[in-house]
Amino acid sequence: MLLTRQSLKPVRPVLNIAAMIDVVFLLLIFFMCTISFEAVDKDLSAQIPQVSGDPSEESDFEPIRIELRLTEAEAEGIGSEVLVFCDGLKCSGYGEMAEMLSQRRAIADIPVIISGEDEIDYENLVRVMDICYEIGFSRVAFSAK
Amino acid sequence: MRLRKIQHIRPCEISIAPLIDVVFLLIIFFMVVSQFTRVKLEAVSLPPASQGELPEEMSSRRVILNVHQDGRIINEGIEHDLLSLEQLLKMEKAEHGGGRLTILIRSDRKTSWKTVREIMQVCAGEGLSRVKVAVTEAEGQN
Repeated sequence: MLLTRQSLKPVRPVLNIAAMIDVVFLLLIFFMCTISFEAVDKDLSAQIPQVSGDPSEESDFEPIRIELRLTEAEAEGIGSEVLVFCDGLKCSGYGEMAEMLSQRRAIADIPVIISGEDEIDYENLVRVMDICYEIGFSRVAFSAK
Repeated sequence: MRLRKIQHIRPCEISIAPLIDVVFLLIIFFMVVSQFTRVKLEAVSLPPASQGELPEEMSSRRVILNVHQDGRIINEGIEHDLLSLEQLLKMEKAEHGGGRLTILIRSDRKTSWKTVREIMQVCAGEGLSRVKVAVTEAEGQN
């Protein structure tokens, strides 16, 4: 078979720069965007009373103790509810607890200690802590005992 | 005064080679950094809160503990139980000093309180009181 003269001529390879730059910039923008989305976690400061000494000891006031308990599940399929106790007094919900705390906050920035039963979902305790910070308490701690 | 004729007008060109160098360098940087943060931050459904603050500058050492719904405790890709966690905190404390150490607990919202409480007990036992809990921005929650 006879090859034509044109096919024998070596073709100079060309790198298509424009397309490569498109892809590279796309990747760059993708990574720049995703990296800023990953850092949206926020923190709540959760002090823990030390084993040796309670931080509430420094205060003139007796700390407010908020306790979360679970009701007994009455029947299968009905989940147990979370009950809120503020200094031993049962509250009808987070709203009443917030009201009680607001009244105390008007007196002073009293330390608050949050405790709960083992089976309670962690988000309930964080919610109580969030409410405490929202009302204006600055010394909110989880009881690790 | 007669101006001299400009002999040659050099065509304006963008030099592509250093541009590509810089862009590739940036890409690799972001790829590595995003991989690095992913190792530290596991995918857990954090509890919502409205009063969360943005993390402070990294002036102090932060130990991130990811706690899954089933109670698994993971630090930088390694699973820990309470005993090995205690060892880890001891080591970190010895290396960085207790006062400069912050523990960030990234726990799933449905984790039982017992698991998180036990972690806090370990922290308290080691004398570490700078404990923070990670939350997400609440969406109009009351």
